[in-house]
Amino acid sequence: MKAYNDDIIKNSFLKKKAAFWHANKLISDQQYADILKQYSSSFQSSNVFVKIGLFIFICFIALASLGIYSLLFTSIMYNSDGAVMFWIFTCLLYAVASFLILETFIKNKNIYNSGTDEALLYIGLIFLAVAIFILTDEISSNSPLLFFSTALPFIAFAAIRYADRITTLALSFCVYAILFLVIMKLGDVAKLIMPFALMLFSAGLYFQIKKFKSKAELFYWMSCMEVVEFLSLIVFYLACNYYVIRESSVAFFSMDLQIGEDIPLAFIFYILTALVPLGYIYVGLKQKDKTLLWSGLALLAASALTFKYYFSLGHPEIALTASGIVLIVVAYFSIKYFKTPKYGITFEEQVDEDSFLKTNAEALIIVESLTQKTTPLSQDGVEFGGGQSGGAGSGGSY
Amino acid sequence: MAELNQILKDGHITEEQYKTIESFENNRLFSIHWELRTILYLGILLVSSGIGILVYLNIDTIGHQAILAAVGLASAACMYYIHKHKLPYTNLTATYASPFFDYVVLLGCLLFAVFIGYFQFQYHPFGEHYGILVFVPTIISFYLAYRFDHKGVLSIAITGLASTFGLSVTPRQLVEGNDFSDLSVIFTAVLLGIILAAWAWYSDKKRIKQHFSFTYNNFALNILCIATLAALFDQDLKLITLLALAGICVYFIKYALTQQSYLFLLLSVLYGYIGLTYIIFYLLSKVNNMSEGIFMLGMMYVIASAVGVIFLFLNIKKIVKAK
Repeated sequence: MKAYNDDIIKNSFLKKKAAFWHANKLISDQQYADILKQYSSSFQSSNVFVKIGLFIFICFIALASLGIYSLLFTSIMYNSDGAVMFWIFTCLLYAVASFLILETFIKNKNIYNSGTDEALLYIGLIFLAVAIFILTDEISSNSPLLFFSTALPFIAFAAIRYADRITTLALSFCVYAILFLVIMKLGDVAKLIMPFALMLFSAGLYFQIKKFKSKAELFYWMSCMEVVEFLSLIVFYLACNYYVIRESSVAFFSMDLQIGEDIPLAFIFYILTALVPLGYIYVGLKQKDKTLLWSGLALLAASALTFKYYFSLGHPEIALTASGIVLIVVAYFSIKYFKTPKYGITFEEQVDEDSFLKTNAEALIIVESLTQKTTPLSQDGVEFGGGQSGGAGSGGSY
Repeated sequence: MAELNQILKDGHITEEQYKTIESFENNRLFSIHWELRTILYLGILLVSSGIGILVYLNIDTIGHQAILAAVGLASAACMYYIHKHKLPYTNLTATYASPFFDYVVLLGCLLFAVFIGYFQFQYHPFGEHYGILVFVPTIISFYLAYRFDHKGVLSIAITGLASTFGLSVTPRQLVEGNDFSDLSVIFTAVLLGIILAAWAWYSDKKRIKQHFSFTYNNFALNILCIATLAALFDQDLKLITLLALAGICVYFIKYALTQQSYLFLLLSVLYGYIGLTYIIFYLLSKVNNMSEGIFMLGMMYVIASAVGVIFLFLNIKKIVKAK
């Protein structure tokens, strides 16, 4: 069932822990080097940029070989009779080839999470999905439910076997899509139960995953479970967000909302939109759970935008300044407050190996977001705030 | 703690270390450092753009002097704060105890740029010399970046320097913001890139703020490679341009290997690969304008070269170690 050796996964966790202890000076340089040496295999590289490079070039190879292949069989492709069958055959051929190469690589080269295996996996899955799409479209056109339910077992198998995060994301999307489409089939009652059904399902999923995460024997799927945990939190929020419900009522249930009219139970959804992110943040801090905390913070911004959209005072500049001041004040007092640890929470930075990357990323974000389009100097009439004066001018940030 | 038991069992740590690490893990606090920093940063971003728009909209009612005075005062207040809390200058990394210090430096720098821009817009003290508008804040930014050890302000200073050269070098603007079909723009970009890389090399050697060399080289590599690639695509003299690109890539691959920086390695290899691939296809199209056989050859080149690059990446550890 599992494609990778258990030890590889265990070792990768171990190396992460060791790196953390090393950064905190709990183990010496020599000890860390020995640990890395013992628990690494020669074809593994933990560096993210090497992974990106491998990923890109595997894709190049796949594209080029597809180019050669289609050149060889141009005549069949434009022959209308067998074209559909030929396309299905081609996609299946590519999918099978990708998975075969992937399996050989894993077996012989001991690769894991190295960019190569991800690339082969995604290429295989994409070709498989296209084959299934063409096939289901031939059987009954315009039937997304058929497509998703045919694809589901394949994606589920891949997600379980390769324990890959993006595959897990695709699997979750597939499951949610099927749930959504099945409820849609119920007819009129659908629009009433949809938000609650999605919320209930997400909540159930979240707590189930939480339970699974505490089981040590499921460590192989740890990263997958984190993805599902995060996604279920997001979907739970989206299912009760006022904007999402109002817009989807119009889009999917052809509800004709006049000015001044509102969706049923609007009141409840307003409250949920406001409370769910705050609840995430509160519980996240209480349980010391980064996933909850980060989704809470991100969704709080989404809630703020939702309320601004419906209750705009017509002064975006005042809203911007005021919310900015609120954020600064909140951050200022929280930093002061948590400078000395309270309730086991601290502002003190946790030392880890990535801090170099973080400070440089921060510098990059600053230059990207705070400097504006440069106006060439030779032109007449340089705009006010031209050059690099950040934040002046009527910036497009609202 | 399965991991901890494992390394103890394999004899990597002593019993004593085991106990230390165990108590460290049990007493670990929940850090919300980056969360609060992000909120603070977002707040500054919102306020600075909000005030910018407020000023822009209310210029008639507030009056120019009032706005100028407010912006100038705010900038001066920031400068006063950083002056009061400064540490002595060092060529190494300076660590400030206060988490707000970095942000005050950043805010002061940005407000000063607004102040200068607004001052010029209103009173034209520099006449038609718009260059000064960018030049003065750039000098100040460089000073602040070095004096108070701030990589963000350094990046702002470098973009400022580039715009005195007439170039846009922020990540999103680098390709679309410059007219690289103009040969003089290419020369300027190459000149700027060489200056940045040379300064990074020199200060690395003299141990002046070595941790800044990432920022300098990052700008230099991207500016140089994009300019030479643009020249390769649009201009004649393909051979010289290709050699220049090759030289740049070799320089940065060497730099990447000595620094063990995989980002620079990836970027140099990618840029170099794009250049080489372009030339191969250019030559193939000269031989016979895209017949089937030529197309086939091209595709085979892509496969073979990609396999080569993958081999390089897979054996990167050995190559880095051999150096």
